[in-house]
Amino acid sequence: MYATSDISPFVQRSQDTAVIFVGMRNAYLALRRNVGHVAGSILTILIVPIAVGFMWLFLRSQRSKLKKLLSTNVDLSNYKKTRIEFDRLNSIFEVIGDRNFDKIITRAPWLLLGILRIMDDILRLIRQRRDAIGHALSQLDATAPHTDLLKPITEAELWEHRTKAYDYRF
Amino acid sequence: MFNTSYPFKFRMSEKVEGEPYHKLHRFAFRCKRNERYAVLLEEYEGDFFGIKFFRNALSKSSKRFQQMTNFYDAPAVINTCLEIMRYKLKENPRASFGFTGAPLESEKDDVTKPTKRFRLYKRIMENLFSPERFVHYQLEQANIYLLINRCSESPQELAEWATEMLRRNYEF
Repeated sequence: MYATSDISPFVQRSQDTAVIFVGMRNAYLALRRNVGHVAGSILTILIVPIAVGFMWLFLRSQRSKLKKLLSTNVDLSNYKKTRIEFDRLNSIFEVIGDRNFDKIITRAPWLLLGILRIMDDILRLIRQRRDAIGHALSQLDATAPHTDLLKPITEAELWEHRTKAYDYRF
Repeated sequence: MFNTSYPFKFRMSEKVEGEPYHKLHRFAFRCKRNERYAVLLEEYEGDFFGIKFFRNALSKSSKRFQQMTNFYDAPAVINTCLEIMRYKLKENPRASFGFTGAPLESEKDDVTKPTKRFRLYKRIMENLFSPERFVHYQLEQANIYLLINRCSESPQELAEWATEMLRRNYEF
């Protein structure tokens, strides 16, 4: 739908991380459904700690890279690029859900606590960027002049109705 | 779709009295059938421009804004008008624009629906004019579309002036 050049490195990395989250969730659910008690116990003792260790290291590096890329300054001079970024970040939360990890962490087994905390941090970083863009976009509507007759078309409505492949000319 | 345009010429600017606009800028171009078109930019206060175009052959006709040419050349003609808007914006970066989508002969009696031209122009404006630079307004009941430049001297005052002018000329 969009050209790759329209995606910022922060969004690219956020999306990659979201794909990993979804993969981890699916793997966990598949294991729970298909592995019996005995095999499950063996897996938990032999493989899970190693896998969790690797995931912890990997997610930690993802978090530090995202931290470096994060910026809460929103430049609307390239409106299209910023809007696409906003859509992409929103779609991440549509896929993995905008959940509150605090509650999950209190119920999770201790082995997974480290991973869940990092996941929570990563989602917080993504949410921070999304909210910064959302705020900047809402300012476009807030500053639009209006009268009792002239009601401005909202930025979201204009974006929704347009063919995304076109570039703005003006 | 809107990639081709015709080379246009700036003809003249003239001061106007007795009209709500104070200056009229005339542009002209020829389409692929060598048919001549006129584009008028009516300059109102606050750097607001009303844009109109019609075939020169129909310039004396009261239906010059309504008739269809059946040349199947609308994209290039409309794109030329967009290029003229770009030319004006280059000259005056504070320029705001407005236009109406005139009804076709078949639409004249049905005032409840927005006209075909209005729907097309609206689509083009949504696609090509960034909300970061222009505030978009539509008045479907009168088939009017306005683009107020965020860089204009006072966008709020311009919106208020436009409201007053619209109320004077249309029934809302």
